[in-house]
Amino acid sequence: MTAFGELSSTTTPDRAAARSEARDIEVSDVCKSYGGANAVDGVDFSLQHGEFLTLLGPSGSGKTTTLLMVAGFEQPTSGDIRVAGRSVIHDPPQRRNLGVVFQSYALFPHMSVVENVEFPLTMRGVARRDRRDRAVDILDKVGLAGFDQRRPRQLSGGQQQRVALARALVFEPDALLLDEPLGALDKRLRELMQTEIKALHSRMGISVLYVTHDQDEAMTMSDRIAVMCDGKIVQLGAPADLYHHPVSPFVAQFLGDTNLLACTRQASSEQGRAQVRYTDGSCGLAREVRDHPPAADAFQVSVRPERVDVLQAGETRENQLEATVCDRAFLGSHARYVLHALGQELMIKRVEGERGPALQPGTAVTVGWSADDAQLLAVNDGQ
Amino acid sequence: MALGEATLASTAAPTRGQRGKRSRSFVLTLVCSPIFVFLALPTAVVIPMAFTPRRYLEFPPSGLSGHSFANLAKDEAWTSAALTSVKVAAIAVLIGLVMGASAAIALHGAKFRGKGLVVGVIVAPIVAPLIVLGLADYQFFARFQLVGTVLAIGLAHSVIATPYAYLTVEASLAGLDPALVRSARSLGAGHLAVLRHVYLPAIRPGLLAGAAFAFAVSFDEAVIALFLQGPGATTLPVKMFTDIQYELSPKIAAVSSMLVGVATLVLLVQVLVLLRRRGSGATATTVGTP
Repeated sequence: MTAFGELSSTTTPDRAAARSEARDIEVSDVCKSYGGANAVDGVDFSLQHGEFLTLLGPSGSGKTTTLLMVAGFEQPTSGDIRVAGRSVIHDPPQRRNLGVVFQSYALFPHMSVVENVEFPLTMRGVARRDRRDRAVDILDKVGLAGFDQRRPRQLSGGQQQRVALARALVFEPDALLLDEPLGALDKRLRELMQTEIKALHSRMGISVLYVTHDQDEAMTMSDRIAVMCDGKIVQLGAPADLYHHPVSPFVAQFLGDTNLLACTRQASSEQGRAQVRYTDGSCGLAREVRDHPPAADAFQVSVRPERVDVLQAGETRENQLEATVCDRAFLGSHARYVLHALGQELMIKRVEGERGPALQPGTAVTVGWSADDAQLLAVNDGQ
Repeated sequence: MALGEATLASTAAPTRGQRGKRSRSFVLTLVCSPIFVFLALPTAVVIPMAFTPRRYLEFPPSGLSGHSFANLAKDEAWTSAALTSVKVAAIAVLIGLVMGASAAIALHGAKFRGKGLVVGVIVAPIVAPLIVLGLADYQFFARFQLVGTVLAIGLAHSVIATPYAYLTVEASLAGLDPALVRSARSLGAGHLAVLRHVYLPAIRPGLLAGAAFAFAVSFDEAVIALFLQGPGATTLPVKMFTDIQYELSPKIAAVSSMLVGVATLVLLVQVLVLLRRRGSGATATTVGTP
């Protein structure tokens, strides 16, 4: 932001200073219903200044609708949206000062690259020379120096994406909104662009609200992730937090692979742990969801495949099960096994070699995991 | 009208038939050639008739002469009729384009109950019987004492020109990414700026095609023009119609062949625009959708 500070018509020094601790976007209890059905149902979050926040969820979870409401293309049924401290609920998109990048890039086909990037400055009445300087400068920042006079259709998908980013950044928006921006790119280019967007984010210090259904993308790029399902945010937190401390089977399954084992909750013990009993009658110890008193009658333990150990004779864990090896797939860095235990499949990941030899299908083994790796989850309908 | 519909069909399906098999295209040629001859022959007959050296219509012509064209140019009744036709067409094109294009833009991407009905009403003048339209126009303009004016005929023609402008502009909007509009707005563009920077460039070919159609439709429309004609407002087709009842002079054939010439010219411009657009448009779509 500071690189353009002196050219900005909207950012006064006072405001820039106030912003460092301010929230760039605040979404308060926003609902959107279409003919009775709630597409977005009481969504509540704020984007801290300089933060990279991702709305992650399957299609139909309301993530894009939420972004469109922030951008001003959809009107919330209720709730409030504030940008840089100011309620924008009645502002049209062109007065919200947010940079938006769409999956289709949406570059103006009849304008050259530099004209595309100048467009938001033209709309803001910036003088011609100033405009050109800023456009060329930002094109340089996204790695497209020298592409000024090309037409969008002469660029590759990745290059078009960069132009779209440059165009959304050049007018110093209060935040950048990205709606599945990498969805149309192939896998390699997508990974490259992930790194570049992330680098651009830290270099320019701009706040980013990102929408995707791709959990890897969300994990790689985000400071915080809001997992959405059925129009609600089911959990909001740092990627590692969500991965290790999911609050529901949905989150546990949506972020990475996990094993969900049915159990009953016996009694809570010290340090936020609870005794559980698996369906084969064996007892175990699992972590309870923080600040979340269990009110359900059905429970599951979620344990990540890489946290399940195959136990040698004499080894013990807080949770132990007898299992049979069904299938093994070698994946280079590790091997993935499908075991049979508790009448269901149990997936485990094992680094083979020093830690243990390959297991042949049909072998009976004892597997176990510690209480810290077992997350006790209440089974709610659907989630 | 036949000309209008033929080109309209080709606008609607610009990509079809680019990669047909050779044998298929041969059969297609075999079947279509006689149809084209059947469609074009009656029009083509008029052209040699115009070059007759006699003072009456004959076919085949007994010689070659341009005197009917020369007579035509000297006859003030005909030149003023031609001028009237151009003025009428200008009004029809202008109003038709503004109405058709704004309807197409307003309805683009809009979803609401009864949209089909709205589109139906816009397109209705294409199928409405001209005689009914003519009668209605006559009664309407008679109330304002506008019958017999160029303005009345122009306004009446703009009604039948609007659907063509709507359809061509709508066709050119079909490929417009709705995200372009959103993107422009998020970048700070108000409604007018969106119209200028997003819609206008996209519909330019459609506007051109629509103008060509609207012009062609108005220029050879006779029924409504006949109802609304007056001493100062006689269009070319009306003049031809009334003239043919008194004398069968080769002038009629000369005017007819000139009309064919104008129509062909409009058609050629259309095809050229279409080819140019297809050339650039194809590249845009391949890159746009990976």
